[in-house]
Amino acid sequence: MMEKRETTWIRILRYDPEKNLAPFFQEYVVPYERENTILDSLYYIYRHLDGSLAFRGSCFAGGWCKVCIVKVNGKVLLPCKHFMEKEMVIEPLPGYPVLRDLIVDFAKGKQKINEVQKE
Amino acid sequence: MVEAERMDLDVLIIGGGGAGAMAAIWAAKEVNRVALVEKGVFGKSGCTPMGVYSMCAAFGYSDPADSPKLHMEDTIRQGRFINNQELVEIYTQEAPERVMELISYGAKFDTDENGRLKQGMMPGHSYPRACFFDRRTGPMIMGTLARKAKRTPQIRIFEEVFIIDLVVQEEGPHYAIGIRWADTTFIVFRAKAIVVTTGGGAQVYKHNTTSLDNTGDGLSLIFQAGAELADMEFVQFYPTAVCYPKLPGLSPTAPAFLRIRVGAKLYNVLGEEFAQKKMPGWRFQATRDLLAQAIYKEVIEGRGSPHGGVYLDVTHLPPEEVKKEAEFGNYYNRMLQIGVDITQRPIETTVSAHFFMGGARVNAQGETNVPGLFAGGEAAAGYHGANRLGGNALSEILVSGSRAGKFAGLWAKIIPEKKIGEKTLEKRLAAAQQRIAQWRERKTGLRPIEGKRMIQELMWEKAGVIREGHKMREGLSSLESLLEEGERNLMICPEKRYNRELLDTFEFLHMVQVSSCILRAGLVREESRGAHYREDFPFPDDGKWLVNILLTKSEGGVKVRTEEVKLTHLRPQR
Repeated sequence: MMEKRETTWIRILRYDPEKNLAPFFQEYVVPYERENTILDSLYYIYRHLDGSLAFRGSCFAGGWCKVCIVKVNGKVLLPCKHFMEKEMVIEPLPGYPVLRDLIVDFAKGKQKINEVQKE
Repeated sequence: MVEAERMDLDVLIIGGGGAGAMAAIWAAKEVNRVALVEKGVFGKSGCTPMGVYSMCAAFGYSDPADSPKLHMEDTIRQGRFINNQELVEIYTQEAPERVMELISYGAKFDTDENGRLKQGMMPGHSYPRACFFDRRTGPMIMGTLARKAKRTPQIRIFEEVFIIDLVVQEEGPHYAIGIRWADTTFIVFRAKAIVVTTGGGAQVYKHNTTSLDNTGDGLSLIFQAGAELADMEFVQFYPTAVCYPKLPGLSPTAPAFLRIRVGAKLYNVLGEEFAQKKMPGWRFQATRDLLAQAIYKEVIEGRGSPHGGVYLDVTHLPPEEVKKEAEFGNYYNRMLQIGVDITQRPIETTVSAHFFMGGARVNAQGETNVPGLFAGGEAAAGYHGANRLGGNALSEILVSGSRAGKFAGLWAKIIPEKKIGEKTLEKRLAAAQQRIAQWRERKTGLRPIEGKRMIQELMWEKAGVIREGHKMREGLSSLESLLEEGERNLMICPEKRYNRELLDTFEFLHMVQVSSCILRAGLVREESRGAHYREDFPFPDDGKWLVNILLTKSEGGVKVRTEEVKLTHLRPQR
């Protein structure tokens, strides 16, 4: 019997201010790999499921560039520094205007981006 | 006419890492209209913020016997005499001044009880000359330079804009066609001088240690604009990069710290300490080229660890000693957090593409052969020869970046304001617009991300750590087919705002260009030297190959020529 691959259920808050009246959640199911990071799973979605997903990521190496910052399951964090979980709700960084999907305007937040507390 | 925002400039800097920021700061001392374009977020993207530890400058604080001259000699010797010795002399002499300049902008370094910079030892250097700030030297430098650039009123910063084409003219001015990632609108920069500081392109390899941004954009752009590229065959592979377990939250080069600072054992699956066997003093002597080749041989000859690396082990050392050393940069605790106790078990480590020694051929002013086109940082060739020493990148980008910026500024001062070449520009803009429309309209075809993956696989196989003529030829012909397919078939989603596939498409095209330059140069050099190791020519040949291989675009192809290295300061000993 074939072994059933474990999966991860991801809901991402998407929004294109030119196209959508309001943000909406989109669901994706991706393979669960315990050694992959949350950012790896976003990249998996981009590569295999949905090329239109907008998110930032530069170093992809664990907390050097910090541009990938988002909110996952209610916590503000760097998705490149944390392993993926079985269920994830991913939202843009709160307190900053959303430019599209997970991309926010770092220049127009309530506080300086470097001072945002993250896990 | 294609709709585009226009901007008139004295100097345009393309690429906002450490070299770019430095170039902008220095250009702004000469002229008033300076712009810096960065495809990511300025101060955060690129490779400078990924620099972990060392920035070498021969202050001689740790050992007064050290000097810039000795730093120069180490750099040339370990660069296997391929370096441009004039550039290395300038670099090693100016490095301490540029570090002091950084400090004047607010940079912080670890200091001793006398308030002098601490200086650590790095492999291949004859004296300890690595300045550092904990294990955050790169982010600290980038943060400092970004703040300085943002506070300089002459500098305008454009973020998340990528340059897709350069229109250069003999008499100037040059044009750079950019696209805003935010909304896919065009922005055209007309500049008297352009400085390219876009770094290297290690992303053309499947395994790499660099930021995803590092796709060789600038090298591809200036090559297509007629600039000469040098030493493209020399790609540095980092010997002990992360392999297994993955270490999110630590640098991809983190295991090197166990090797150099802690004194790890390195062994294959049979338990053989192959590096120790070949070179007893390997911990401080084995440069990246030699160690990477030794490790990769173990892997391809079947003696590698389960995940395709070799073992790096500190379990033979007293745990207290390891923990004390690994307090540095919080390594021990961070690894423990992700389930790895380095005092209890070894980790696997492997080779990974890290740095381009090759790039734009520049003179001491950072000028390419195209008037008004300059390059600095990793995008410029000549400083590191055939193998870069650890710690030489972060200081070299300061020197080469500042010089390229300064001389671009001086050039812009003497060039009169002209508005020629608008027609060519319009044609190229229209062509770009049409191309993008075609990519968007296609419903089936090649997705750029898949194209990029193909390049990465191909380059790793055909032009990786260990090379062979027939493999490189195969690689070149596969690349040509891939480019043809790309031209016919590229397809992206229609999104206007923050379209990652659009950015990936241009990166794919740049990666093809840069990869083909690596393969062409690699085929010409029929010897092994530094980072370029050929199974079919396994030895260096000083009689024949103390040359630089230079590539330029020509009608319907690539022109290759070689030029003897000028051994003005140091010669190889027979």
